[in-house]
Amino acid sequence: MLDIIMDILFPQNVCCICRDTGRFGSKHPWCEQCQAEMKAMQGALPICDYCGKYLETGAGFCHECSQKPPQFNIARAVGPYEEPYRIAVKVLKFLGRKYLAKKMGDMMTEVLKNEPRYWPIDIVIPVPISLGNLRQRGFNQTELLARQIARRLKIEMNSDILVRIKETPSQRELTKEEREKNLLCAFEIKDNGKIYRKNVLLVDDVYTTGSTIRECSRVLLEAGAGRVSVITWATGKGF
Amino acid sequence: MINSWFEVFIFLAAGIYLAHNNYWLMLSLLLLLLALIVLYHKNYSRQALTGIIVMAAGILYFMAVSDPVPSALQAQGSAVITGQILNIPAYDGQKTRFIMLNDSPNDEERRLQVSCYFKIDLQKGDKVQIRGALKLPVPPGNPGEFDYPRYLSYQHIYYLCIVKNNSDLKILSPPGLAQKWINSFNKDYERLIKDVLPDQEAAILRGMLLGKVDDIDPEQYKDFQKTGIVHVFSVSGLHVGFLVLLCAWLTSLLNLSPRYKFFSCLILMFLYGSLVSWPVPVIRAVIMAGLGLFAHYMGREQQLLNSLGLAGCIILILDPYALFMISFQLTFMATWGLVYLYPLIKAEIQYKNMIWDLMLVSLCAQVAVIPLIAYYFNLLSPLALISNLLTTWLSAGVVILGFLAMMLAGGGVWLAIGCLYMAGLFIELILALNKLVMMMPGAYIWVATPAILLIAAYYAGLGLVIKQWGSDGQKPYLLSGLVLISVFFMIILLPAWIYDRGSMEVVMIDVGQGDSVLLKSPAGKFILVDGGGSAFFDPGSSKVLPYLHRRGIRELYMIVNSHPDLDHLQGLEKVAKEMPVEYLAIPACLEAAPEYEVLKKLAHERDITLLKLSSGQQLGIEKDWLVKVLYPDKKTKGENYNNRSLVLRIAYKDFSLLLPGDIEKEGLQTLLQGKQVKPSTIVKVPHHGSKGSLLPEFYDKSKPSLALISVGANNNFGHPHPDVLQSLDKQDIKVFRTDLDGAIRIKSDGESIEVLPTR
Repeated sequence: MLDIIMDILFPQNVCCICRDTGRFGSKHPWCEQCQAEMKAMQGALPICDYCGKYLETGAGFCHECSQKPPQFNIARAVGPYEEPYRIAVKVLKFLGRKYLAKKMGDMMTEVLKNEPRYWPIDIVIPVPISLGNLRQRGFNQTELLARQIARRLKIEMNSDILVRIKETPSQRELTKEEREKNLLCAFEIKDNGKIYRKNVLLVDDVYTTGSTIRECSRVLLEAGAGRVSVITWATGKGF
Repeated sequence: MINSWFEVFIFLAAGIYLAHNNYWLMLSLLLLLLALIVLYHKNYSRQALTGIIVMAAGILYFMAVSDPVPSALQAQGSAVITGQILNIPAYDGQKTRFIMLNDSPNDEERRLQVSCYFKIDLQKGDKVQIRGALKLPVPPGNPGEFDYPRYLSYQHIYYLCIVKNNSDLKILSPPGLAQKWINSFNKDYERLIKDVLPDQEAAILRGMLLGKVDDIDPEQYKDFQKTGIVHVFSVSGLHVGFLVLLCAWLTSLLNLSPRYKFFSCLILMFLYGSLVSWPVPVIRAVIMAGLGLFAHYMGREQQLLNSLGLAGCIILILDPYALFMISFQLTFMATWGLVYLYPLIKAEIQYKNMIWDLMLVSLCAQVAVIPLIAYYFNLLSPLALISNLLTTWLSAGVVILGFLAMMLAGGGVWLAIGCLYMAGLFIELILALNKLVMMMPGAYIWVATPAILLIAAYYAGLGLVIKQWGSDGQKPYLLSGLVLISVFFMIILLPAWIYDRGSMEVVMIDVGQGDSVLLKSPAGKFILVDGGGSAFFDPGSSKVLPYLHRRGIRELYMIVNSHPDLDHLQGLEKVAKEMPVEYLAIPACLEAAPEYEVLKKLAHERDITLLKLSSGQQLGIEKDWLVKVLYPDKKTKGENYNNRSLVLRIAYKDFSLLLPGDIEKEGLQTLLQGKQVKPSTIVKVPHHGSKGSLLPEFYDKSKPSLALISVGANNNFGHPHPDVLQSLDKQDIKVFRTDLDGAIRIKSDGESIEVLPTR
C-alpha cells in the first residue's frame, strides 16, 4: 500500500541502473534491458558447488573451498558482483533507495525456490552491519532483503539473534587474512534457544571473500544451529 | 498512472485558468486536440489522456469551489465589526493595514481589508473590534493598471474598511499561545535588528529575512526591481533551502538518525513559515523541501521538477485562486527555470568554470520569468545576469547570517550581534553593487506590456528550443522556437511611436484629483501636459509613469506644466527624473515661482531645454500639428496661479483640443475679450469643473462636442460642481469624467474621432 502511494507521489522516470527513461516503480525498478542483462549473466559461468562463487572453468569447487570446505551448507547468489548487479546493490545501500530491496529480495527468493538443497528453512537471519553505517544510513540493507525473502517464503525473520558486538573497520581495503582477523569475535548470538537445531538461512548483500559469512556461520553453528545456508544478492569471482 | 506531477500541475493550472476566464472555446479546442493525440499519437497518448482527465477535474473542481464575485455591492456607512487579524499588520507611514476575518452573516463581508489611518501596535491573531466605514475597492482607472478589486477578490475580500480614529479600534483579546510566542519572537528579533543596524540596512535585512518590505524606501525598492534583484526580498526557496541545510548540518553534528533529522527539519521549516506568515513562495518551498526530505527518508528518488509540480497541485487544490497571484507565478516559473532548464543546459555545455555556473543559474531563472516581469512590471533587465551573479550569493550570506543571529538571539546575544554586523556589511555591498549596475547603460529597459498571446508564444518558443536542444542531428523546430522568442522581444521592445502613425491621440490619464494629459502627435511625439499630484500619494510614480511604461513610451518630447499647483506639477517632477525628456515648458509669467525650483534643477541636470511659453506663441512641432499658446502673456499678474494657467490649443486638420489648465472666470474673460477662443472639438473643463471656472460664454465660443473633466472620486472640493455639469448638459456637450470613466483616450485622424473610456 505504502509502495503504491510512494510510486504515485514520486514517479520514477528513469531506470535506477542505466538511467534510461521510461516508467518505473517498486515492482519494476529497472528497465527490460537491465533485467535481460542480469538474466543472461546468471547461467553464463560455472559456480563453486559450496560457496556459489563464479569459476573460470567447470572445476566444481573454488580454490578456497577445495582447501578448506566451508561450515555452511550451501551459498548461492542471484548473479555475479558486476554491473548491473553491482549498481543495484550500491543504489540500494549508498543512495538509500530502499524500495529496491523488494525486487532484489524477490529475485533472491526465486534462487532459493529453485535449489532443493536449501530446504527445509526454519528461520531467516540477516548479517548485521556496523552501528556506524546503520546510524548513517538509517537502515540495514541486508535486513530489508531478509524481510522480503521471509515475507515471500512465509518464514520467520529475526534480526536480533545475530548481533555485532565489535565495531570493525571497513573490510573493503583489507586482504583476506586481515579480514578474518578483523572479524574475529565480532559477532554474538543473543538468543540461543531460537536457533537451536534450526535450519538457518543467512542473508547478506554481497559475498566477496566470504570472511563475514564464514564467521557468522561459525558463530551460529557453535550456538547450536542445526544447519546454516547462505543467500546473497551478488557474489564475487573465485579466480 | 501519473508520469510526472509537473505535467499534472500544468494541465490543472491550464484548466483553472481557462475556466476562470470563461475561455470555453479555447478549452474545447484544447480538449479536442488532446483527444486526437490520445487516439492517433501512440507515444503521447497516455500523457494526453492524463491531461484530459486532470483538466476536466480541474475545471469541475474550480467551478465547485469558486464563488463568483458578488455584484452590486454597496458601500456602507459606519459599522462596528469584531474579528480576528489574519496577517501580519503593516504600517506604511500613513496607514496600519491588515486583513480581518469576522463572523458577519454576509459572505461578502466576512473578510475585510482594514486600513487604520493611524499607527497602532497590532499583532497577527489579535481579536479586535473596529468601527469603520465599508468601502468598495476602486477598479483601475487607467488601461492595464493593477486591478485592486480583482486582486482582493482572489483572497475573497470585497470590502475595504476605513478606520479613522484611534478610539475606533479596541483590542479585545490577544492571539493564541503559539501565535503569541511567534509574535513575540518576531518582535524581539526585529528590535534586535533595529538596535544593531542603521535604518536602511535594518529595513533591508528585515525584508530579506522576514519578507517585510514596508520599511524599505520605495525608491530603493524600485531600483532593486530595475536591476532584477528584487527577488532577494521574496522569502522563498533560498531561505527554506538554507534552513534545511543548516538544520541538516546541525543534526549531523549531533549524530542524529535520519528519522530525527527529517522531523527536526520539518519542525524548523514549519516554525519559519509561521514566522513569516506563510507567503505563497514559502508554502511552495516548504512543500518542495518537505517532499524532498520525505522522499529521502522513504528511500525514494525524487525529482525536483516532480516535487515542484506536486507542490503546485497542492497549493492549487487548497486555493485555486493562488494561480492568479503574481508571487505564485513568479516563484513557480523561477523554480522551473532552476530545476529544469539549469540541469538541461548544464548537461549540454561542457565547462568547468564556477563563474559560468553561477551565470547559468541566474540565466535560467531569468529566462523563465522574463515575460512575467515584462507583463507585471514592464521591465527587462539585461544586466540582471551580472547583478545577480554576486548579489545572489551576498544575499545568501545575509540570509545565513540572519538565521544564525535568529538562533543565537536567545542564548548568545553578542554572537548574534556579530552576525548582524556581518549581514549589514553584506547589505552595504549589495547596495553598492546595485548602484554600480544602475549606472551602466542598458541596465534596464522599460517595455510595453506584452499580450497574453505573446507570452504564450515566448514559452512555446522556449519549449521548442528545449525540446530540440539535446537531440542530435536534425533540429527542425529549433529555428521556429528561436523565431518565436525573438518575436516576443521585438514586440515588447518596439518604440511606442510605431503604432497609430498618422493619427493623433489625447489621453486624459486618471491621476485622481489633478490633471495629466498625454498627447501623441501624428508622427509619434509624446507630450505630457501636467502630471497630477497629491499630498497623500505620488501619482507620478504610481499612475503616470506606469501608464507610459505600459505603453512602451521610453521618452517624451516635451513636458508642459500649466501652472505650479501641486496637483499639476508633482507628477512631472517624477517623470522628468525617470524619463528622458527633450523640452520642459512652463508659463513665462510664472517662471520665477518657487515651486519650479526642483523641476528647473532637474532640467538643468538632465539636459532638458526650458521653454517659457506666453500667448501668441505657436509650437510648430509637426506639419499639420500645431500647439498654440492662447494665454497668459508674459506680464499676466494675479493673486493665484490658477488664473495664470497656460491655455493651449492643439489642432490637427479638422480636430482640435483646448486645454485651459485651472483657469478661472477672470482669466476666461480675458481670453474671451481677446477673441482667442475658437471652436474646438474637445475642451478640457477648466479647474476640474469648479464653479469658479464656470463661464457659459466660454462654451458658446468653443462649441465643443466633448468635454473632459479630470477629477478625483469623492474629492474634498466638490468638483465637479453640479452647476457646471448642468450648464454643459444644457449646451448639449457630452461629458467624460476620469472619476467615472477612468482614463479617457481619444484618437483622431484629423477628421473623425474615437473615444475610448477605460471603464
